[in-house]
Amino acid sequence: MKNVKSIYPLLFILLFLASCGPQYISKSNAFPKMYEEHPLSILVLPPINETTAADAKEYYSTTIAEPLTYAGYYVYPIEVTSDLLKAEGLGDTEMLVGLPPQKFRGYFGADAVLYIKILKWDTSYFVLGANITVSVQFILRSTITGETLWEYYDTVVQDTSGDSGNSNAGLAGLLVKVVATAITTATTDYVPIARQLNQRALVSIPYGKYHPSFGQDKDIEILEKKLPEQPKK
Amino acid sequence: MKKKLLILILLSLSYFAFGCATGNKQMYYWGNYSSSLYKYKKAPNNETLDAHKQALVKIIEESKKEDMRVPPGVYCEYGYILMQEGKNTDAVNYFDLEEQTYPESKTFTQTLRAKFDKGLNKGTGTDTGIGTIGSGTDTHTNTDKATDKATGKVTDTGKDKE
Repeated sequence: MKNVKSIYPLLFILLFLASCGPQYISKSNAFPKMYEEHPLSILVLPPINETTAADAKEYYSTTIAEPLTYAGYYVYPIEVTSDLLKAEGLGDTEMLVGLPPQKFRGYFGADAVLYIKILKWDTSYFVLGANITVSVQFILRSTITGETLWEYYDTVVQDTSGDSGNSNAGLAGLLVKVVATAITTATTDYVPIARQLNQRALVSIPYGKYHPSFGQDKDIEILEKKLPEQPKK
Repeated sequence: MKKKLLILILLSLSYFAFGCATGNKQMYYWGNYSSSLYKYKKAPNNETLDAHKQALVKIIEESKKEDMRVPPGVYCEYGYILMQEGKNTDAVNYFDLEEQTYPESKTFTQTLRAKFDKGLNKGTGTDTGIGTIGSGTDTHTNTDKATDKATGKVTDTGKDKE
């Protein structure tokens, strides 16, 4: 009997999680236009960097092509396309965002354009530890209609607090921990965290034509994650 | 009660398993692509560019060995670097390969060819951008490297410029 009683709090927690937790939705309900248009080729535009980390844009760009191709899409080589855009006088990402997606069809032949916004790429220190946070928003737009085909955003937080080891709660022990945290945080790369984020976010994109399960994932349920709508243009 | 709990545990486990499911890793061989490109971005110099080129070559070789399709864009990116180095005929071969493997790339590779026909890659002074692959021509980066060697700090100077 004792055992059964001890389960109650756990059940309450689970119920709470179930009712207030994130909402699941099938891929075809979340992104119906993906299944109408079946885009094959994706042009990844240089990300918009909304953070203060100047190098976030360049570094993030190295992580996205690979997971997108695993989702079954043809992805134009980002290194080459960003060079071409620069040569066209479109190196400025903010300018690119203002262009109608249709423009990229003629120039690249792309079926869809992926707009990426880096929302967070930073470290926050608290008393005895630190976190690295990477947060990214993705919007895939059709180059035929200009409409949004797929969108998602995700955040990954990594704790980089130093290991206290044999934590004598004395001042010296604390100091050791603070120093360890600073070192771990300074040497932790954002890029592996970005890769992790991409993997998680791309679980939600309907499979492209090169994926063996192309067209068979309509009923797969995903976690819906959208940022609140922002005023357009 | 126990049954309910078991179901709940199973449910949460299945969610977990679903969350971890990723794309089919057997589709392509991407080798070190992301990490060699990242290293190049962090410290753009001849060494890191060479390492990235080798990563691209390895992707092409391994894919052939494993009888897999070379991942999208790899032929093209490699060809583009060759073109920046003035090896135009080799470069065009790689653009051809990209088109053959992925017909949907054709508009793009044609645009690329046209750009280069116009002489985008000629002239040592026309850097199209900072920190992009082969944006500096060979002579340019060579002199950079020489001065860097003199100061003994390759990465630091690179970072300062960024």
